Amino acid sequence: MEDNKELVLVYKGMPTVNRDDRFSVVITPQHYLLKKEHLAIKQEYQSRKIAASLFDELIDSNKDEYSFFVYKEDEDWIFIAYNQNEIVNFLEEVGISSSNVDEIFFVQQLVSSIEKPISLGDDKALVSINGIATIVSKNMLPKDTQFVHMSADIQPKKAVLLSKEYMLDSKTTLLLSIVFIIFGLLFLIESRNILTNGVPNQAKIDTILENHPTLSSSYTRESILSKYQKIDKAERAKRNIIAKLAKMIDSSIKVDEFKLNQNSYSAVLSVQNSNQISSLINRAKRYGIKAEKISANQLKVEGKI
Amino acid sequence: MNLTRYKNELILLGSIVFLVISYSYKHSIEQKAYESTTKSQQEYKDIIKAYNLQTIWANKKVVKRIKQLKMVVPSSKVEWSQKAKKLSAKYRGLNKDELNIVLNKLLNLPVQIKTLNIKRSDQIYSMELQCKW
Repeated sequence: MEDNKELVLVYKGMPTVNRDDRFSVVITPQHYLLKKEHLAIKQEYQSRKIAASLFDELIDSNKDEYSFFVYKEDEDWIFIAYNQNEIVNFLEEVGISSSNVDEIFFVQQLVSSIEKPISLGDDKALVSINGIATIVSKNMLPKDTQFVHMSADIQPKKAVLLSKEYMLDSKTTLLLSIVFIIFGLLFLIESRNILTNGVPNQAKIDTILENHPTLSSSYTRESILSKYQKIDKAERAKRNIIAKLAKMIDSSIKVDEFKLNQNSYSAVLSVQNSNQISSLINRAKRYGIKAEKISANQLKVEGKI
Repeated sequence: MNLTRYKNELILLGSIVFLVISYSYKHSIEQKAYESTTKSQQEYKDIIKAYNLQTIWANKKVVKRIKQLKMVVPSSKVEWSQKAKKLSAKYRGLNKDELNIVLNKLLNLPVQIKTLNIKRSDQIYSMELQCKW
C-alpha cells in the first residue's frame, strides 16, 4: 500500500521515544548484517534459499534466531540478516512498543536518499559508501560536515512485519485455509452431483407419458382423478360392505334380503337358533356394522355407503 | 491501513467466505432439488394414480367381461337388458352356489353398482342388478 507513514530512524544511543501513534521504523546497520552480491538469480525465492548460507561465517551462534531479508537493488541482490528479538528488545529499550510499529525497514533500502551524512547521536553518523549504508565515527568526517535528518520521500515497498503482531501464524492460516477450501470444494462437488443426478422418477414418468400422452396435461390428470376417485371410493366401499357381511355369516345364518344402492345398504339375516342373535350382533359391531334384532330369529343390518 | 499486516487474517477470511458461499450454494441447490423432487414425486403419484384409475374404471374390456354374468347361469334364469354402458339384469330361481358365482363375478368387475337387491325364498334366490361402466 502506498500509505506513506512517518519513518523513524532508530539507532543505539538515541533519545527515548514517547509516542502513542503508529509509525514505521528504519533500522541502522547496528542491528543487521548485510551482503551485496551479484548473482545470476532472477527470482527472489531462489535468493532467499541461499541467504542463510551467505552468512555462515558471520553468524556463528544462535543462527536459528536470525531471519533473512532479500531484495534486488539494480543488478545486485541485497541480503540482510537480522535478529528480530534483538530488534524488538532494542525498540522497547528506546520506548517504542512493538504494537506501535507498523513496519520495519532497513536503512539500506533508503540508501539512495542518503546524500549527506545523517547524525546518529554525538559521535556516530550514517553515510553511504559505495551504495552501502554504513555507520562511521564523526571523527572520520571533515569538521565542516553538515549533518542532516533522514528524510525519505518514497517508502520502500518491502518491509519486515513483526511476526508477533499477527493474530494467526502462517502455518495455522495455511492449515485452516486448506481445510476450509477443501470443504468448500466438497460442497461444490456435492452441488454438482445433485445437479447431475436430476429428478428421480423422471425416467418412469417419461415412459408412462410416452404410452399415455394425454396424462402429460395436469388438467387432464386432475379431471381423471376427480372423476374416477369418487367412483373408486364408492365402489370399493360397496364391495367392502359385501365382503364384511360375507365374513360375518356362516352356514347357520341365511340372508333373507339384501339391498344396496348408491348411498346405503341393508340386509335381513335369519338364524336357526335365537341364541345366535346376540353373538351375531356383537360380531356385526366388531365389523362396524349397525345391527338390530327385528324378530326372534331375524336381525337387520344397515348402514350408509 | 497496511493490509500486508493482516495477510494471514485476510487469507483465512477469504477461505471462510469461500466455504460459506459454497455451502450456501449447495444448500440452495439442495433446497431446489428437494422442491423439484417433491413436485416430481407428486406428479409421479398423480400420473400413476390417474393411469391406474383410468385403467380400472374406463376399461373397454368390461363390455366383454360383463357378459360373464349372463353366461354363468342358465339363460332361463336371467332377464338381461344391456344398453350402451348400462346393464339391468334380473335373476330368478338361483340356488346358493349360482348366487355366489354371480356375486363373485360382479364384485370383480370394474362396474358401478347402482342397485343390487337379493331376496331369498326358501332355498331359492332372486337378484336384481343395475350397473353401469
